[in-house]
Amino acid sequence: MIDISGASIGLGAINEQWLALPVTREIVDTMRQSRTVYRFASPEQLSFRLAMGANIVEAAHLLNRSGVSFATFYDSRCNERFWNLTPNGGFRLKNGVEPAVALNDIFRNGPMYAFECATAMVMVMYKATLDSIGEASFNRLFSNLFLWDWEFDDDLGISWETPADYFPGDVRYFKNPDVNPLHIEWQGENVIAMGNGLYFGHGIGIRPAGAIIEGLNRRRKPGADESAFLMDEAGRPAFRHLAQFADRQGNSPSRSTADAVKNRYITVTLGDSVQVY
Amino acid sequence: MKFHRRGPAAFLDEVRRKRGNASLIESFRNTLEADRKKAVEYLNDDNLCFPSFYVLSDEITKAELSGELCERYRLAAEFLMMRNDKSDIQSEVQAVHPALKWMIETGAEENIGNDYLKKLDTAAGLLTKIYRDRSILPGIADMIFFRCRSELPYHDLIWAFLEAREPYSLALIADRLRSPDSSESACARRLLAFIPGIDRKETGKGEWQFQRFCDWLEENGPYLRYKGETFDTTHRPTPYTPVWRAKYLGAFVASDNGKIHVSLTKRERRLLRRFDDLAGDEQRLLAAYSARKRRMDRNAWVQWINLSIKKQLKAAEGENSHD
Repeated sequence: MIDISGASIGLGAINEQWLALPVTREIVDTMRQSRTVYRFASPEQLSFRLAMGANIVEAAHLLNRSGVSFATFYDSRCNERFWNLTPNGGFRLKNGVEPAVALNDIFRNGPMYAFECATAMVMVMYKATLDSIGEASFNRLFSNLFLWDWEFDDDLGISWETPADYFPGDVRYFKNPDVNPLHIEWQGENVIAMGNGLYFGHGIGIRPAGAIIEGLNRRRKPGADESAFLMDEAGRPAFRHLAQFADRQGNSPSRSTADAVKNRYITVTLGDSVQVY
Repeated sequence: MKFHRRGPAAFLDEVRRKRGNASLIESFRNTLEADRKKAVEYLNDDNLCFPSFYVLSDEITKAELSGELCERYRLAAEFLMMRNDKSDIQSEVQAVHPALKWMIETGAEENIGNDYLKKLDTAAGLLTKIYRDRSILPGIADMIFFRCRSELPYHDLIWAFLEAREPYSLALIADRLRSPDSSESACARRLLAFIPGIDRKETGKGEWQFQRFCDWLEENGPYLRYKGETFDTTHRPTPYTPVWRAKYLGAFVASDNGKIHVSLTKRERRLLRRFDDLAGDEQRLLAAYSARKRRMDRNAWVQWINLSIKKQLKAAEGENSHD
């Protein structure tokens, strides 16, 4: 159920742009059909939540297409025009470089970058935040950007819990409990839920859960009897906290997200009815 | 815990210590050219440390010396030559246990490049995951903190350490909460931040945090289940979590899967069915109260556990409201 300022709302009260986009439609439908009450202080706060969800998924698409490579912490690499590579395989923002410019460079000059899968998840979250709150706020909030593992700024505020419902844009983890230690990088896979049963994992692309589990199971130790599995926990950024920093762009999908909708789907609006093909 | 050599330093270690890696290689080449037997003798020194052996591994391969080495070093040489994509690799690692252990015991606190560190990561993972060797955990803990101090990658070591699935080994990490080295205490806080009272950002309270850890482990140790979370999984992993129903009954669990070790009586099974129906916060409250009462006065606990679950809850809530 969705509740805005204490009142339950129906589909009619939701901006049709969110119903047209499959990712946000899935979020809305999941919230509406849930026994959990999803409370928002204002329509704008709900809009931000949906925009950010769509932007997370879109950022994952962008990273997937960017040409970045998977590498363990030992073999990380980055564009040293914007980042300093730290001994533990992290990327620290160079002095005098704007955080938004450096972050966007990862998505534009992907082949210059290699990193492991947790760092990729944080990059996706930062990129979605940038596209949701705009450059000025992003540069102000994240002036000491450091990309390494699951480290992130307090303002991004990713937190994990076992939720009542799962949404596109959630960070999930496929655990491989019987991994062969000789293939330690296959101990698990951090993923972004892309909606419609698909997941993006850095280095493995966008796949259904079954294919990811099958891939992990191939890297188990001999005699293994435990299958890889999707853990219950989901990670989400601090949507409400970030919403206060959104400029006007933050209440709608980013330009790239909007373009993606135009490119991937045909949307037909007939009166109150919106169909996506 | 630090590992020490058992006897006098090996000749090759001394050369390396005094003159560095390049001189060690040069000196070894010269010896090999002049007297192969002597070179092999130097390598087979029982006190040789892994870093020197690693530095010479290319020379060992080129000169095809591995067949002349004692078993531990021959296996170490074979391990270093292994390619991770080999399909028959598992059969080769079966015998390599003593060599892996030696690598960590004598090479933990060195950095001879990324390949060296990766080999140690793999050795640690094989020892805990395949060989289930818990005796190596102090050595792995030393390596983790060496990497923290040196700002080197340590994620795979933490994975190997936790995969031992031994909750009491967390004491090896907690000990560093009190370390005067701020990078060590920060790393320990980062790993133990799932324990109530330990905040990853709170500096200067090492002793206090260590005591919180001891309290937590004493209260929950027998009931901890390995959850499988590491720094690969989340920002603040919870590697172990108490099994509330086991803590409530005072029944020890297998840390691997959280299953209660002992067979339960009919009454205990009935109690657990009721317990399982409670909300999560009620379960926690009842488990904590039960453990406390059991510790303080076992007879009083036996009386309490024989009450209906409703009355048990009431007693627990009553005590809680006095806190």
